[in-house]
Amino acid sequence: MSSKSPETYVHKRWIVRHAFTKQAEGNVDNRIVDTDEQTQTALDTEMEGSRVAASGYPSNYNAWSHRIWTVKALARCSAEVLESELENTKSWVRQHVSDHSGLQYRQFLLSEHRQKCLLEEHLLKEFQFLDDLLISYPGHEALWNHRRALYHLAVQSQEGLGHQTEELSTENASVKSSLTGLEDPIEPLGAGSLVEENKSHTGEGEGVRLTSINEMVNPLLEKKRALAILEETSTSDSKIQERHYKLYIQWLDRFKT
Amino acid sequence: MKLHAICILYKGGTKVQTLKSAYDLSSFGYFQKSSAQEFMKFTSQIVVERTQPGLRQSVKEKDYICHVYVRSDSLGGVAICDHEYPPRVAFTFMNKLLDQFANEVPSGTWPSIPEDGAKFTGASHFLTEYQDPSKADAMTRLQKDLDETKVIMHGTIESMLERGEKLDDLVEKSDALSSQSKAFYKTAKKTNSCCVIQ
Repeated sequence: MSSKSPETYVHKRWIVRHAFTKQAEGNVDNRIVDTDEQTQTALDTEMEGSRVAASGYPSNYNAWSHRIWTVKALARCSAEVLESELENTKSWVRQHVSDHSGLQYRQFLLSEHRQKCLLEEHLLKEFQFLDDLLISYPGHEALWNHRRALYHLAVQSQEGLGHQTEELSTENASVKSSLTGLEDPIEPLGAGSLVEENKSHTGEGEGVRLTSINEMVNPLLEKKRALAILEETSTSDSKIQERHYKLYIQWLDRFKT
Repeated sequence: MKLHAICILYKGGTKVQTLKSAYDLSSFGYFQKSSAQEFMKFTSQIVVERTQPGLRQSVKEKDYICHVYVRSDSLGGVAICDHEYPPRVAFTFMNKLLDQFANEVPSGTWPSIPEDGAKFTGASHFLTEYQDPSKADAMTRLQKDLDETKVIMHGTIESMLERGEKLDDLVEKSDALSSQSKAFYKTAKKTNSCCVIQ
């Protein structure tokens, strides 16, 4: 089986749906069937399968989409599964910082949180996690895209817009395609000169700690945080990081709330 | 994010020899493992040959990147990684590794060490230790000594070669590559998939 063949995943989903339908149909004599255990087994199997497939091919969209389907179909996006999946995929993302699809999976998990306060708590943690990744692994488009998605989710949450996963994926797609057209639109400055220019505006130069949703969505504060990330990046990587930082600032400026 | 190999080499007057190397071939398919190792060894020798003492370079070749540092005493280190592995971490641990090697193996013996024969366990230890840069990162983020150092970037191995030199010829002439590997190289080149990680 090719780990990225879409037909294979379509077939897997058919099998799972078929098995559970048969299970319900077969229960004619009032026997209590332990569907929870079977569901958990199926869930574990599909998760392990998609993890293996995701390892086999970089940014394996089909493997991660299948994982999303599994969370929706088998776990009904229960709060427990969302939590455990956020925890389970943390080390994966740390080991695969350019895996766009893995990061989009985390965006899906966040966006499915029904309770606003829980979502906001997780967003805060995710921003902190991402800050660390951006500094440790400079210059990865997937990480900066993830930041855009988190910002978007935070704004949606604050405006009480609810969970619009489909819209978010489209937004991400259009962000990605709009990025490919922007190849170094600004004259490259010497590495470090932008940092020098703005140092006086960020005071101590320490990372700005987030404590509330209002701080998360404030564009001026977000710009400060992005600059703090650039300043924390080691000099040898600052040139590539600066390119991504500038594109992010442009995106923030264009972002319509 | 993957660290595939660490090699320690000596850039002698007439040729480059590998003193010690360590490989993690877990990302390669079963049938590709031995060729992958041979190519990594071959590549590390070429890049050290083409790096002046005191310089650092990073060379991209398909899915992997070679980070090379040759010290002024002609001791060279090569780290072969994927494109996610942070170069800063690679150059930092290479500094440490080469210092450790120079402490344990007297420099007077370097020219006469047989291929891969140095009595040194540091290379495989570092390969395991630094496989996950986040564990090592607490240490490396504090190290600013690399920050002012220039690293020359190359888009391909070919850009490091002399005018008129061809990689195909070097592969053909190499003693380090088995005939199986050379055949693999020719086929992979036709399908444009040389040493692709499955």
